[in-house]
Amino acid sequence: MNVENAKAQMRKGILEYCILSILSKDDAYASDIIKELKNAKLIVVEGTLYPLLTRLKNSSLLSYRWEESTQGPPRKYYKLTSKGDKSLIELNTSWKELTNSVETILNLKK
Amino acid sequence: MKKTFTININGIIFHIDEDAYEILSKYLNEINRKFASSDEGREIISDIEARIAELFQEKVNDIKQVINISDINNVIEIMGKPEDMGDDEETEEKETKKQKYKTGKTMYRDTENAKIGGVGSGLSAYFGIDPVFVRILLLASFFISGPIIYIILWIIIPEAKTTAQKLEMKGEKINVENIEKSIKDEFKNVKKNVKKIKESGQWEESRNVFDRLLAIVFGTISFIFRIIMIIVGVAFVITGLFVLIGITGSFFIESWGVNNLTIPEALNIFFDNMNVNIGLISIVLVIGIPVLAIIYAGIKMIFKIKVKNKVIGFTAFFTWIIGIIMLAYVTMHEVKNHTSSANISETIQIDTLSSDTLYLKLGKDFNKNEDSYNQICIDDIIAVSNNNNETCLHGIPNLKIKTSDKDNIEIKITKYARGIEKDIALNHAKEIEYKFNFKDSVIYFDKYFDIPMDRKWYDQNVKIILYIPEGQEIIIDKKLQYLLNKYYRYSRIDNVVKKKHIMNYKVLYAHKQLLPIPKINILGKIKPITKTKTL
Repeated sequence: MNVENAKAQMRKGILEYCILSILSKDDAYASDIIKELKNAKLIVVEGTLYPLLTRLKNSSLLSYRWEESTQGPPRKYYKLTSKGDKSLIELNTSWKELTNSVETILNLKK
Repeated sequence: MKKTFTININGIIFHIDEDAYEILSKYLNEINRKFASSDEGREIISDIEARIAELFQEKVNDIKQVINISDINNVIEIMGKPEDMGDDEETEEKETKKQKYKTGKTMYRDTENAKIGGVGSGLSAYFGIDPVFVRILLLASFFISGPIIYIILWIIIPEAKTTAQKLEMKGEKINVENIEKSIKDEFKNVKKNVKKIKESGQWEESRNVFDRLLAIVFGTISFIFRIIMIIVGVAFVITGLFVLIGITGSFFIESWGVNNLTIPEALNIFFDNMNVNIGLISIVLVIGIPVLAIIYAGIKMIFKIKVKNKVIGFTAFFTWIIGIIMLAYVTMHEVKNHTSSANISETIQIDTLSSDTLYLKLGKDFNKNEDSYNQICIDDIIAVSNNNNETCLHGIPNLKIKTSDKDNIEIKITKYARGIEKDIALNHAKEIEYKFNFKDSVIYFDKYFDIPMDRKWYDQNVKIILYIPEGQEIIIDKKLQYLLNKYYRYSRIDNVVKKKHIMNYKVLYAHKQLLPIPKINILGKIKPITKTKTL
C-alpha cells in the first residue's frame, strides 16, 4: 500500500465534503473557501481547489453567479444547489458512521 | 535597470520582470497543458488565472509596482505545482490521453506586439523567429498579391485573448524532434502502465493496455494524418497563390493575359462598355473567391487553426453566386448583342487597263496617329488604342481571285457584321470602311478595313472577290499574300506571287486546294471555276 496515495485518496473525499459544508453555511468566493480550508490545514496548495470546484459544479452540486468586485473583474460566487444540499445530508450521515466505525476500530486496538 | 513586460491576466494589467515573466509563462503553460484539452479544463484554467490575478494584486501597491521573481515563486508555492492539482486519477488519465494527440502549439495573432493586426508577431511567435523577418516576408507578399494574404491571415488566425492562449502561441514547435518526442512519451507511458499492471496483477487493468495500444495506433494515425494535412495544406496554399498571382498578372501584365492582352483590354474589345466593368468584377469574384477559399483552407490545414466563421463562409459563397449571376448576365447580354447577322455588297467594274498585265498590290496600312499607340492582335482583328484610351479596331479583309466569264474586271466587296437586330447588324456592316485604289494597271488593296472608333467587335468582316476574265495576265505582288488567303497566307501562296500568271485554273488551284480540280473539256479548254458549286 502506498501511503501517499492513501493519504491523497482520503483527503480527496473529505475535501469535497468540506467544500459542501463550507458553502452550506453561506455562499462564498473561491478565495473564502480557500481561506477556510487552509485554516483547517486541509489543503496545502490552492491549485487543488479549482478542479474540484469545477467538477462539483459540473455534477450540479454547486452553482455560481458573477459578483462585481471593488477591485478588478467580477468574481465567481459559489452557492449550494438543492442537489448539493441533499448530497451534503447524505455525506453528513455517512461521515458520522465513518468516524464512528473508525473510532471503534481504533479503540478496539487499544 | 530591468526590462519589464506588461501582461494582462483576467482583465487586470500587471507589470512583470522579464525573468519573472519567463517563470510565469512556463508555469501557466504547464497548467494549460494539463487542463486545456476539455471545456471543463478551460474553465479551471480561467479560474486559476483569476486567482493568480488576485494574488498578484496583493503583491503590488503604489510603491512596488512590478511583480518580481520572488512574487512569482510565492504565488506558485501558494497555488501548487500543476501535478499537485490533479483531480482524480480517472480524469487525469483522460486528459493526458487527449493531450497526447495534440501536437505542439496553435497559431494566434499577437495583438500585444502588433504593428497592424498582429499577424506578423503571431507568426514569428509560432515559428520562434524574429518578427522582423516575418514582417519583411509579409511586406514582400504585398508586392506579389497586394494585402490579400495579410487579410486572409488576419481573418483566419484568432487573436490570443487569454494568457493561456498567449502561451500556447509560443508553445512547442512542430518539428521532427518533437514528433519523435511525443511518440516516445506515448511509448514510455505504455511501458509504465504495463509494468503497473504486472505489479498490481489486476485483470481489470488489462483493459487499460487495450486503451493504451489504441492510443498508440490512433496517435500514429493522427500524426500521419496531420502530416498529410500539412502537405495538402502547403499544396493548397502554393496552388492558390500561383493562381492568384496568375490572375492578378493577367489583369495587369499583357503577356500573361489572353493573346497578349490583359483581361480588361480583351473584354474592352469584345464587350459593351458597361458589360466590361460587370464582366471584370464577375471574373474577379468567380475565380477569386474559390482561390482565396483554397488558400484559406490550406492555411487552416497547415496551422491546425480551428475557426469556423460562418459569416465569412456565407458571405463568400453569396458573393460568388452573385459573381456567377453577373457573369451569366453579361454573357447572355453579349450573346444577344451578336444574334443577328447582316451583310452588304457592292460591285465595282474596272474598265480599261493601260497595259496587258494586271498588277495586284498591297495598299495602305491603317492610319497611324501621331500619338503613341498600343497595338494588339487577336486573330485577324487588330486593336489600336491611343493615349486617350480610345480603341479602334481594324481587320484583315479576305481576298479571293476568281475567273469570270465576263469581259470586265470586277471587284465585289461584301461587308459582314452582327448585331442585336438585323438593322443594327446592317448598320455595323455599313460602318465598315474599306478602300482599294485603281491606277493605270495596278489595283492597290488596303491592308485593313477600318471599324469606327470605339465600336466594339461585332464579328465584322470584309470579303473581296476579284473577278478576272479568263486569259488575263496577272502578277500578284508578294505582299498581297497578306490578304489573299488567311489560312494559306504563309505557305502555299509562294508559287503564286511574283510570277506572271495567265488567269487560268492553275492560279486558282494554287489559291486554295479545296477547290475541285476543274474538268478539262475535249478541246483542252478550262472550264471556268465560277460555275462550280463551291464558289
